[in-house]
Amino acid sequence: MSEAPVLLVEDDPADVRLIQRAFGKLDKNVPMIRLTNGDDAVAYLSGLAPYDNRGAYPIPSVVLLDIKLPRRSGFEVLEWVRRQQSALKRLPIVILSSSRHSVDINRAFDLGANSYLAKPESISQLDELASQFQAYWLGLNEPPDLHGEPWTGRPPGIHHV
Amino acid sequence: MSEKRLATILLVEDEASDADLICRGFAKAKVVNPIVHLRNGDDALAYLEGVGQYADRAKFPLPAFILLDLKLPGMKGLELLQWKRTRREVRRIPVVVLTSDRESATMDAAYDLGANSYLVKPGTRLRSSALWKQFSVTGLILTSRPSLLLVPRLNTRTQSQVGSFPDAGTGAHQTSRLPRPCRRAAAEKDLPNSNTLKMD
Amino acid sequence: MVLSDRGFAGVKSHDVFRLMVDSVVDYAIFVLDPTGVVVSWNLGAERLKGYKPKEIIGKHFSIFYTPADLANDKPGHEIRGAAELGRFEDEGWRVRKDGSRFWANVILTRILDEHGTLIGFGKITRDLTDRHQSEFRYRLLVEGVVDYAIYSMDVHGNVGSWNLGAERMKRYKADEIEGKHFSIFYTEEDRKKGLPERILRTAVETGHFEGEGWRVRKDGSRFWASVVVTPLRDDVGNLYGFSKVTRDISERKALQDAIQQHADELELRVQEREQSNAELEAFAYSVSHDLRAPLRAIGGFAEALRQDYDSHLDDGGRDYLKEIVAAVARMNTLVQDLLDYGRVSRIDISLGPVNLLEAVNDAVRQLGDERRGSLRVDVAPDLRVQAQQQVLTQMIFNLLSNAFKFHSRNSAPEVRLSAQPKNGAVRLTVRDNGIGIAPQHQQRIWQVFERLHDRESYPGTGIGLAIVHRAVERMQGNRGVESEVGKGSTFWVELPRAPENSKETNHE
Repeated sequence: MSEAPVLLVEDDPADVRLIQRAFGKLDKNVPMIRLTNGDDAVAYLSGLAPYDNRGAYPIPSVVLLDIKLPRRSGFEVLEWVRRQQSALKRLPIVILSSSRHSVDINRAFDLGANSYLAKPESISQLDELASQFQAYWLGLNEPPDLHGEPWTGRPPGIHHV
Repeated sequence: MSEKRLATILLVEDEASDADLICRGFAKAKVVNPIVHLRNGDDALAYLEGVGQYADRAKFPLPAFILLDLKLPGMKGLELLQWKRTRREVRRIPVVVLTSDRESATMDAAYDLGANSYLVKPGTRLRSSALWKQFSVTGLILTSRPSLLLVPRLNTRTQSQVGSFPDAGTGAHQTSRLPRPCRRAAAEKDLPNSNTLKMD
Repeated sequence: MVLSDRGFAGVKSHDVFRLMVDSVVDYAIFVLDPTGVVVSWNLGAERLKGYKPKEIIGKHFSIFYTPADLANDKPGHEIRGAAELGRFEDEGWRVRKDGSRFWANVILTRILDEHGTLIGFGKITRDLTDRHQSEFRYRLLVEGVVDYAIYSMDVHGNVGSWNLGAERMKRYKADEIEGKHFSIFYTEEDRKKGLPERILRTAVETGHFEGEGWRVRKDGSRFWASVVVTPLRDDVGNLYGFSKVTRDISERKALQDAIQQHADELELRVQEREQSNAELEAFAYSVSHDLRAPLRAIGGFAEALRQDYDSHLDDGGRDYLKEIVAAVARMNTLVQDLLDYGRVSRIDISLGPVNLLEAVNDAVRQLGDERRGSLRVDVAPDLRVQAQQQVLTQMIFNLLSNAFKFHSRNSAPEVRLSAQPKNGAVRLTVRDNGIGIAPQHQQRIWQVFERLHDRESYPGTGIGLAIVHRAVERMQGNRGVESEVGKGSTFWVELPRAPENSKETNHE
C-alpha cells in the first residue's frame, strides 16, 4: 500500500471529523492531510509556501475532493490538476460530495475525476465507504507515476494506428 | 428518490478463462447488472459507436462502465482508450483497465489516455476467487445495495435490460461478434418482464 | 336631317322635329346658346327638371348642376368639351327646380352653322334614376344591410347612392353626402398622399380595389375599414361610375391587436416562468444541500456518540441517541419528499409515449427492502401511456410503497398491480390487502402532509399521495381510491394511452 497520504479537501468541519473518524477506525492507519478550500488545495499541489516542504507536505497518493468549497470549487481544482503539464496531471482524484445530481456526476467525469462517491447518510455507511476506499484506491488500484514526466506520444507497443 | 438504473457493464477481455473468473466474481458479489462480454477492441469500438449489429440500443445499451483488458487482438486497449476520448457520447464512461502488464509506461499511458483506474490481473497462482471477492468490495461495482460509485448519466437512450442478453437461442446466428452473456453463478430474483410473475 | 318625300302628316318639314321634340316626355331636349344659356325647352325637360319654359329660358344651364359640380366648373367643362370634341356625354347628379336631385345621363352636342361656326349646343338629358335604381336594384337589399356601407360614385368619385349601412357607419345622412367626393371619408394624411385617387385608378386599371385602412366618420372619429371598390361599366364597356363596399373591422382589428398583445404577454410570461423555474430549481438544490449538511452532523455525531461512548451510556442515554438518529432519518426523508413534490410540480413535463411495464419495473426495483410480502404484476409489455417517464415511475413507486406499508399486523402484505386499456386511456390499479381507508378520509389523503396514523403505527411524511395527485394532474389523468376499513384498498390512476406507432420516450 502507498505511504503517501490521502489529501482530503473538505470545508465542513462536521463532515471532516466524521470522515476522519471513519478512516481512523480502519485496521491500517491512513495518513490524511486535510485542507479546507480550493485555493489551498492548488497551493499544496503546486508546492507553494507554506506547502513547499515536501517532507511535511508530500504529494498525496489520492485526493478526496468535495465539490462545494470556498474560494475555488472542487471542479476548478480538478480542472487545474488535469491541465498540468507535469506527471501531477495523473493524480487520482475521487469526488466526495453530498450531491447526487447527475449534472454534478457528469461534470466530474467529464473533467476527469477517477471516481465519484456520494456522502452517505449514516455513519455506518461512512465506515464502509472508508473501508472500501482504502481497499480499492489505496490497495487494488495501481497508482500512476506522479513524479516522472507525463507520457506523450504513441501508445507503447503500437506500431501503427 | 434517486434514479437507479440497472446499467450495463462492458467487459472487454479476450481470454476466456479470465472472463469466466470475472463473471463468477461478479456473481459472488451479487452484482445484478447485465454484463456484456466482448473479446476484442474492434467489437468494443463498434459496440460503443452503436454501429452494425450494435445499432439497436434497446438490445445493446451503452454501458455504465467498462472493464478493459489492454492486451487485445486487433485494436489494442490503449488505442480504444485513445479513440474513446474523442467521442463525446462515450468519453465520460469510466474505464477500469484490467491487465497483466505492470509496465509503468503502459500504466502511465493508460492514465493519460483517461483510464479511471488500473488493476493488475493476478498471476496464475493467485487465480482464486479471493481477488474477485476483493473486487466485490471495491465500491466500484454496482451491487444490489445502494452503490457508492455513481456513474455518469449517458445522453443517449440507455434502455436497461433486465435479465439475460440475446443469446443463440433467439435465432441469432452464432458468430464471434455476438456479445456473450456472462453466466451467473447464483439464481437472482428476476423483475417482472411479462404478465403475471409471482414473486416473494 | 332629311325628311321623306312623302312628308309627314302634312306638317311642314321644319315643324316635324319640333313636334317630335315637343312630344317626347321622357327626355329633356333643349338648346343652349354658345355661352350656355337655355334657348329652348321641351315637355320632357319640364317634366324632368320641373321648370316651365318661361322660368328657364334665358337662364344659364348651370342652374341644373349641384353646388359641388359648380365649384368644379363642370358646366363650363362640358361646354368646352362639346365645343372641341363635338359631343360630351356625362352621367351625374342634376338638380331640379325644387332642389331634389336625379341621376342623369347627359349628352351635349355642338351645333354649327353652314360655315362651321358654333352657334350653340343641343342637350339631351335622360333621367337614369330608374336605371340607376334598377342597376342598384339591390339598393333595397343594400338598404337593409346595416353592417356594410354600400354606395356608388360617379366616375369622378362623387357619392351617388347611399345605404343605411353607410349612414350608420360613416354617420352621414344620404342628402348630406350625395354628390360629395368620397375622399371626405379619408384621413388628412391619406388625402395628401392622393390615396382616394389612386384607389379609383387601381380599380379602373385592374378591375377592382381591395384594401384596409383608416376611414373618418362625419364626427371626425376614425375606424379601421375593409373596402372594395368596383368600377361600373355599361353594356359597351364605358365607365360610368364605381361601387364601393366598406366594412368596419375596427372590432376585428382591436381583437387582432389584443390577441397579438396577449401572445406577446404570454411569451413574456413563459420566459419568466422558465426563468423562475430555473431559479426554483437552483433554490431547491441549495435547500436540499444546505439543509442536509447539519442533518449529517446531527445524525453522524449522535451515532458516533452511541458507538464510541457506549460504555459511558446507560440504556436511557442510548435510547435518546436512537431517537435523535431516527429523527434525522425522518428529516432526510422529509427533505427528499418535499423536493420530489416540488420537482413534480415544477418540472417541465413534456408528455410522450412511455412503456408502462418498464416504468413499473423501475419503480419495483427501487422498492428494495420495503417490498416485504408478495407482489403480482399484470401489465402487458407493449402497453404505453402518454406520460413523463420519471414522474410516472415516481408515481408508481409511491403507490406501491404505500400498498406495502399499510398492512395489518396479522397478515403479510399482498399487492397486485395491474393495467387495463379503457377507451383510449389506461387504468393502472394497485390493490392491497391492507388496513383500508374509511370513506370520510378518502379525499383528504391526497393532500400534502395529510396522515391518518401516528408515526409509531406507520411511518411516513404524508406527501406520497400528494405527489401521486400532482403527477396525475400534470399528466392530465385521473386518480381515485376504493377502499373499506379492514378490507384493503384499491388505488387507481388513469392516464391517456399513447398513440400507436409513436416513438417511445423512456429514459429521456
